[in-house]
Amino acid sequence: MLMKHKKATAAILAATVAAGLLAGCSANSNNTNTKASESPNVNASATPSETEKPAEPIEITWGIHFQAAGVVENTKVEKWLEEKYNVKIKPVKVTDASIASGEVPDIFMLGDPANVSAYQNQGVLSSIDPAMLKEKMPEYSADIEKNAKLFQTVTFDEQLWAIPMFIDLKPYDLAMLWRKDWLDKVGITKTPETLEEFEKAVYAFAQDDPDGNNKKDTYGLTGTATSTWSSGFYSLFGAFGVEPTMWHEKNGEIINGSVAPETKEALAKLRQWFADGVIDPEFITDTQDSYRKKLYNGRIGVIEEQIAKGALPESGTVTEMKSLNPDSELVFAKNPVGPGGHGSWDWGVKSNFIVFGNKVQEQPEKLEKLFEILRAQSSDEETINMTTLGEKGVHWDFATAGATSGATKFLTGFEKQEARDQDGVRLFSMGNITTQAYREKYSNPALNEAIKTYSSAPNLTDALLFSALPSDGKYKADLTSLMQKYFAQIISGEIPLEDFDKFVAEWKARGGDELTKEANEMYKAQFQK
Amino acid sequence: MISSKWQDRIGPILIYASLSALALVVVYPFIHVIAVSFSGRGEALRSGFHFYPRDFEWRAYKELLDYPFIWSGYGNTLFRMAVGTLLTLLVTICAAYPLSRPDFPMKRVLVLLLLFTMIFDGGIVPNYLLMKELHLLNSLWVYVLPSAASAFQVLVMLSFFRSIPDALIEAAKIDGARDMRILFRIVLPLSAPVMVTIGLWSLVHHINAFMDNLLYVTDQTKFVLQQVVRQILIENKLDPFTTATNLTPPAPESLKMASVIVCSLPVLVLYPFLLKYFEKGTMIGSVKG
Amino acid sequence: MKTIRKHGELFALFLFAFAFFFVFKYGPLYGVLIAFKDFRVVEGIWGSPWVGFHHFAELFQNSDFYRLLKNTLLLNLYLLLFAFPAPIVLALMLNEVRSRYFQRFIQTTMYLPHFVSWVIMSGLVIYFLSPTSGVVAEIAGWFGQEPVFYMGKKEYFRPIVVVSAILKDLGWGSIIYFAALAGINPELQESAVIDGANRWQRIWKINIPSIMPTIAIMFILSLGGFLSANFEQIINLLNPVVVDTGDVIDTYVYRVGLQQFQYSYTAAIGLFKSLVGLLLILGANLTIRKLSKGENGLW
Repeated sequence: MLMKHKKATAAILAATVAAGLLAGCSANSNNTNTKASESPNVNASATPSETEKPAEPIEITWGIHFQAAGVVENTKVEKWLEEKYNVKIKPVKVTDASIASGEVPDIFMLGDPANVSAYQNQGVLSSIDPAMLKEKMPEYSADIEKNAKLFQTVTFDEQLWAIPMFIDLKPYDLAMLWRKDWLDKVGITKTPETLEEFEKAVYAFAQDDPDGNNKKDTYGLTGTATSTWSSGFYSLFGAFGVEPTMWHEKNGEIINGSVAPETKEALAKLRQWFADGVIDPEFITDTQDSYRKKLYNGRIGVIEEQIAKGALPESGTVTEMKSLNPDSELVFAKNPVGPGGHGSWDWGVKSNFIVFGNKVQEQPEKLEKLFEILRAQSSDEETINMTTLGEKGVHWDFATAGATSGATKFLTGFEKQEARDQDGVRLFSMGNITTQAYREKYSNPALNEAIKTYSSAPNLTDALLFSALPSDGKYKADLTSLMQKYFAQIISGEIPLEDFDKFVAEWKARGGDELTKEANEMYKAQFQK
Repeated sequence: MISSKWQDRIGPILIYASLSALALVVVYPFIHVIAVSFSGRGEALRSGFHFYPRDFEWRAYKELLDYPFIWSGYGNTLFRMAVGTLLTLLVTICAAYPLSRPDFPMKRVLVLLLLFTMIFDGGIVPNYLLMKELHLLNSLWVYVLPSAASAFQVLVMLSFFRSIPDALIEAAKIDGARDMRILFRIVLPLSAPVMVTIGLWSLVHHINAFMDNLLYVTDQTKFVLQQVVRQILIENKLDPFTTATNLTPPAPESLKMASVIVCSLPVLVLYPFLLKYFEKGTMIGSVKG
Repeated sequence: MKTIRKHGELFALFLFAFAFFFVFKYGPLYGVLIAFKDFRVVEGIWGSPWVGFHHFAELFQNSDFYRLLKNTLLLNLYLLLFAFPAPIVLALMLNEVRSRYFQRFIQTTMYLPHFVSWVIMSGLVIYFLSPTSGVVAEIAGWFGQEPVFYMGKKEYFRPIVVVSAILKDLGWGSIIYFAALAGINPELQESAVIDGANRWQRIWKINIPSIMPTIAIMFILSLGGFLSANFEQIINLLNPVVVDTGDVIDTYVYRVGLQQFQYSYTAAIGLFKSLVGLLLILGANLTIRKLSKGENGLW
């Protein structure tokens, strides 16, 4: 989830707080709820907000962040939350075994609409009243308004089952990372922008000995054929305006990228490149990890890389490259523009989802309390910082000394997530529930700039925002596997390009038609304007 | 006569040569792992053979051992290795020995009962509920108690017990020895090789085990080494979106390799000392007389 | 009753051990019922509705099922034919070596790859088989063969799995056979030499028969897992173009399990595998007992 790229998120969160504070202030003045005291008191010490009689602390079973390794009890952060909101927290870790055995926490997070759908089918979630959500979490609601379609992804049987979160500046968007020294060596001075320029560059990499060792041992690029959700070569398919397995809207109809006519064109191009020795012939064994090694070892000259990992000089991939190849130079670039535009696999604005356990709906005071805490987690800078970053000066501080906004860094002893987990940081964090204002205050402006510059978003994201279709469980994995097999064989020349039509027929017959029908139904019912 | 002598002389040479060649091929992956674990960052990324670390550094090990919960994980793993193996051996012997006595009643039924447990499994939910009921969740005992019951090991040990020459047992019986005495004086000493083998199997099982940790233990102070390592190397499966959007840099190659060495170290150290138990016929002689 | 009293101590021992099996293995066994139900978390195992053989029907009607079954059976058959005897041969060979140091050297080096995980090992296998950079391609070149992209051809997948499995676990697997060989009375060997038997005759007439009970039991027990191929190995070696030969029941179960709450379906598949395993074990046991006239086998 987003807490992995805490710096970026934190940076974005920071900016969000500023706006959030303004929004929160005005919302607060209208809100007669005496419990809501978070927003203006950013630096005030946490005063218990109850002005009524000190009620019994409400017990909350809290499912910790799903990427946290394990439960740590009675941490600093837990105690802070308990004091501030008058609750007693029991942190638990949601595992397959615990959920299946019926132990459902009161509040926890899920990664995907498919997860939410599965959980809801099992009856372990509480439905959420959208009106109540809007009332209790005004800042969040205001921000998510422009992405309101996200609610549709977790609305089943006309009820809302999760609180969606969104992210618009995504550090994990993919763009192109080129070997600049190779471009120079083969005489290409302008970083490729169009598909034609891209083609010229990768051909040169394969044929013109860019590493100068008089051996024909280099290729232009490779693909990550063993991805589990699509086919790799995202930017190439993107240049033709499609992404295999993704649902696209064309003229009001929903079609799947795997069987779109543009995909055949993209395959033709890739097939040509393979035949000419431009694509690494061993691309089918490349995994999400190994393809980078090929760049480091000078076997290929360009890869698709996340912006956060490749755009800035201190980014992970860049430093790794330098460690093996100190003389190499890398340059980041946008996705190539082709006949279908430019783009890569865009996960869209979706982020994770907050859900409530099924018992919560029978306990209105608990629900109230949960909303109170969630609201603080969305707009109260102090709460957000405590749960996601920790204590300022102890766990974290701004990267530039003396700064009051911008990128944050973790202090010695707490660089590792596991170390921070010990004090409870991240365990109770809700990630992207934060307001835009906070995000803007606490993000790395350089990274934000890079994202705005290079990302192809929102081109090529799922028309259904990655909602789960009723028959996904039955067909999706098999259809993806079928697609990967055919595409790999078409690209490598093992079977003719015309077999694409065979593939389309098979895809349709083995569940593709059914899924397409369901996709169109869902689109018309929930997503069409 | 001559041909058999020729065979007898060529035999050993062939054997030595082919075994050595095979050993070199087989052992390479391990050498690769060691070499990369001691290599500098860039060198570790280099594709190709790694026979030795060209750019030596301890960094990967230092980094690994610096992670929170590594040392407690190690302690927990050593606990389960020691206690688990001893318990497993105890239970295995106690089940196998009676079944190996020819006049023990209902042997076939009991063996079948054990066999069933090897083949059929109730699944995640009943096991979880059972551990919960027995208050074994988040307890170190959940690592050693369930795994003490291994039908596979019982059946293997049973087979070994049965193959002990009857003559020896008869002789002892004539001398007036009862079941327990036979166990301690004859059967166990003669079974040292299989004890060591099963002990090794158990040790390695406990080193590699992480599934029980994943399912039953959420308290990080009780995590075992393998689980801590898997977290570091992000090997636990998550949904595609989370995996694809993960911004944490992958663990350095050298760290991955170092974790293999660190995890298997106890067995690697122990093994050479156990080899003497596999020497031919050492036991038979000692029992005579 | 008399026998029970006569073997009172033995009963006590067995009961102690069986308690563990009873609690930890038989205790949760009711869970196999999930295979016949539509598991709902809120109802628990007992409360969930019955669906009888619905999940089994779903499995058998899956258009991929026969391909999965075929791949699983073939792969395990090859493993049985080649990977099962390999450690035995190694142990027999090593037993003939006179130098104790050499013996220990080989034993120690050959068991090491067992500790390298398949995640790492598969990366090495793929690298070595690479037509552009791999060793295998180079060696093939000495014999005038063009480099072949082995990992990209489905015909090669099963052999690759079998060979790499052998290389990795050969040493570890031979340990049990060493234990068996250690139990052979050296006097048997000595008298055979005096009688003029050469090395091969000794191996054939003494060593192998002596460890036959161990071989038999290992064989029978390994049949229990006949429909479970080496999952970790396969999932790491699999790529899109070899799925036709490489996809096995366990990789399918893995994909099913990636969606959540598929407990009933995966339980049905597990039950199917267990039943087949049981049948194979009992069948093999019967055959082996007949062949060895009651000497070898489970009981």
